[in-house]
Amino acid sequence: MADKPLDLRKLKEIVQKESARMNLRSFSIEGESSFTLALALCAAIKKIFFEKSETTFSSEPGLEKKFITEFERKMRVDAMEKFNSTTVFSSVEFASNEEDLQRREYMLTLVVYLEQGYLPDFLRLLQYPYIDSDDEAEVKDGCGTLVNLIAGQFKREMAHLGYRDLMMSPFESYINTAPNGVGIPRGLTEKFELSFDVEGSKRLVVELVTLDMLPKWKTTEKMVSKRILIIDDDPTFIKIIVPFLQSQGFEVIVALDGAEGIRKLSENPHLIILDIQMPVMDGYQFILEKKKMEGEKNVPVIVLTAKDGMAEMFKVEGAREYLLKPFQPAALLNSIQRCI
Amino acid sequence: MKILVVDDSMLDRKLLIRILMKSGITQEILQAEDGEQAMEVLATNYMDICLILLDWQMPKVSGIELMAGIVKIPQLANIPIIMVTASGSDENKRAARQVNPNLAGYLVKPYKPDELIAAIKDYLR
Repeated sequence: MADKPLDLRKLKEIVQKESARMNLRSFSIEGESSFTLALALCAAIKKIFFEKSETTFSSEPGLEKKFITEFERKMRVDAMEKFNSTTVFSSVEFASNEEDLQRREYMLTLVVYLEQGYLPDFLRLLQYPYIDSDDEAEVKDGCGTLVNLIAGQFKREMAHLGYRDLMMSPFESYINTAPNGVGIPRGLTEKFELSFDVEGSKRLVVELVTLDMLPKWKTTEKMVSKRILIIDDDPTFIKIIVPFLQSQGFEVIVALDGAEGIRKLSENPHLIILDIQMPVMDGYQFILEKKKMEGEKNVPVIVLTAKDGMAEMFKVEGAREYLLKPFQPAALLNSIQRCI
Repeated sequence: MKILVVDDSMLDRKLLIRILMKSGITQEILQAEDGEQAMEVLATNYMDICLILLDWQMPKVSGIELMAGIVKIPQLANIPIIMVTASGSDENKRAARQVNPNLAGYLVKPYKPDELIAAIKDYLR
């Protein structure tokens, strides 16, 4: 080995020549954040829009900034100052080489390190509308959501590489197929695929990693602040379900029977979780009474009961979902997400 | 001898170095933020470097591009390289080995400290 420094110019030339010869092209968008998936995503998005790409997602000047500010405001983390760790990071990576591109195998991996139980937050985050749209079709396709923002960026990256007019099917229903995070053992990796099709067959992989080493943090303002009215006379059940729903970011109102439930409709819940067997006014009377009162409004109802076999009856009267006790957090969250 | 850590994420570099320090590794550690910077470090320090820990996804010159060049340069070709990357797909692993058949290792982030130490210990001089 000679001890002379290498000629840097020549070194660069060789690297360039070899990577060109081997058709290696890769580019990355990375963000890093100390602790939260939210800020991590923010960072990734910032990188996407402010450093990596010249493309903007709106013609309105300053909207990007507005979006980021708004986004951060919504997901502000109060543990930020206190926590000093190097164990959490996130990255959004686009990896490809020419051969992959030829085979139309593109990969977008979004790696997020999540504390157990925060997957629902993350899923909501993906659906977070970053832009208001008047175009109904756009809204229906989820165009205004974060997840589509990422997909759109992916498409643009591909266009840079000469692959134009990729068809990406609208994103839908991933939330139903994704595990919702409840019950994921700590330290395990959960992977699920978002249903983006790139020209029919390719996938967008989102890898979620839950780590037990993450700091405790909570959002000061939840992404979705929806009000849920629980109508149930069982105090034990109330004790379990109220903190659970609150931990998921919902505001909870409780009524101990149907009649109280009717009165509490004036507090404008976004969703009702209804038991059947209750004193004073039971669940069935409640749903009939509610129908009479509400007319057009129709707040969605999830029936959650120990009583089997009455699903048809309630669905005829407008109940959206019928779940059996003991309640399964995962199933309940899925139902809630379908209803709200 | 020295270890060269190439990663554009400062956090990742810090984490990696902290693990190395904690496990009592005494080698001096050099850092580079991307492939281009790594080339500069390599050009002047190559004779002292016993191992390169290389991220894949980096701006300017990526890890895989850098590696493609390194293996063609006689003075550098013998320095063991371990990829340390978040891209853990089989395709990427294959691609890395295609570029560098003598690849010393492929670590997927997040890795456990023990995995890192096990991967590098044979290459420390």
